Amino acid sequence: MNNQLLKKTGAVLLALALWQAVSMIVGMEMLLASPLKVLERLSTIWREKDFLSTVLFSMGRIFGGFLLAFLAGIGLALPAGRFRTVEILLWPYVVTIKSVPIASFIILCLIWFSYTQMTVFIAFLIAFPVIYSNVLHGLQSMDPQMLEMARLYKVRGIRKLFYIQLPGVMPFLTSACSVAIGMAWKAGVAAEVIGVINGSIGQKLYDAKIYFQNADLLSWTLIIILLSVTGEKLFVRLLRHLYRKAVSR
Amino acid sequence: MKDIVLSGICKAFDGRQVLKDVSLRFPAGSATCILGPSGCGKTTLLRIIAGLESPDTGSMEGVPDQISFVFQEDRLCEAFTAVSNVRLVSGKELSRETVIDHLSEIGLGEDLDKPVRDFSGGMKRRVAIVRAVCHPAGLLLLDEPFKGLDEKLHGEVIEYIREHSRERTVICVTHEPEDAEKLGGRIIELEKIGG
Repeated sequence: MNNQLLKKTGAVLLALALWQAVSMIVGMEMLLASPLKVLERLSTIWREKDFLSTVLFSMGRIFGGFLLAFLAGIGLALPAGRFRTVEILLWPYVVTIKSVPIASFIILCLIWFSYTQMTVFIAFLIAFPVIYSNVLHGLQSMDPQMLEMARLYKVRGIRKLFYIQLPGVMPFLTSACSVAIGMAWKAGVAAEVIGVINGSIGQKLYDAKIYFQNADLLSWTLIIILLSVTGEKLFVRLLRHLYRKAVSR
Repeated sequence: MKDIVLSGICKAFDGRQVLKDVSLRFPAGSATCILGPSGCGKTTLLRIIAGLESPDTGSMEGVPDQISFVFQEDRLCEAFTAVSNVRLVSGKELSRETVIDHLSEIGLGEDLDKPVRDFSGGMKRRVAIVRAVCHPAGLLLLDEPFKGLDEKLHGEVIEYIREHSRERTVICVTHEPEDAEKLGGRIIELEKIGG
């Protein structure tokens, strides 16, 4: 184990000890469950009959929204990077999505959509500007010398995209995906809580709040973190793998 | 293929005159080396011929539609292999095997599967040269193409360019008069304006 990892493990253990101490001082599990209590709840929660369906319900919708944002973000950033007019035409929408509070969108969604579609839409809305802005920034910071080379050798269209633009955009795209997946989970679950969507992780959090089940609340929070981080790592790894495979042909 | 004729080319950057009334003829299918001190406008002249810069005044005739250019920088797609870099511009007529033969000819046959970002400076330079040579162009522009090559490779690369560019017009910017001799071409010396 290297020194850095050792220090980080120490910091986590210290944080857990602090949590345990505060929980003991508070002395009420319904206000702040102890780490041990949460661990105990985690060991049983996954055995409940609706656990898998709940996780799949939320994960499918949140990841679905993210994937739509991924495709739309790239699909719109490409023409926006090429044509300034497209960038300007899209600008008001992107700025609006970025600046309107997510709670306002959730309320609007409750009016416009069915409850089950709402998570997808909210995850999309939160992830789209991140993907779009990063890909656009990547395209706009392309090496001008490489673009000049492409122009001279008449490298155009899909070949220009694949050989010249994609390598420049990849670092921006992967970091955007890392951020966007985490944000999609946060906003998606918030939408589920506000909409009290049946069969979702958000509903479990809502129930935990109603029945003062603090251990349930913290257990589901840890599950969300785990799903978010794992999903992010897997997606970014898959993206890098596909890119490497494509360029090594 | 036509002679390339430049007439009265002038170019200034931010008020500094780099080229003044340059008139030259590059005979079709011949090699020409352009020599001159730093800052005399050699690269600018190549860029004007390639259409990457517009002259302030003057005209050009006979420049073909397809042009190959070895820039001062390698300008390679770093994540891709040498074969991919060459095939990007070589056209469908040149098979993968032919491209591999070209790369092998100048000592890159052992490194075909590596991305060029793992190559040394000299190896990247040679890939850039093969890319330009394999591009089906009537005009080959070389801007200090031998920079970073050791003496042995220098000779091999000149021989490679000579061998594969017999039917095209070659214009090479270099600091070495011997390069012109080895390329078998004539020499044009540019003078620095006010220098």
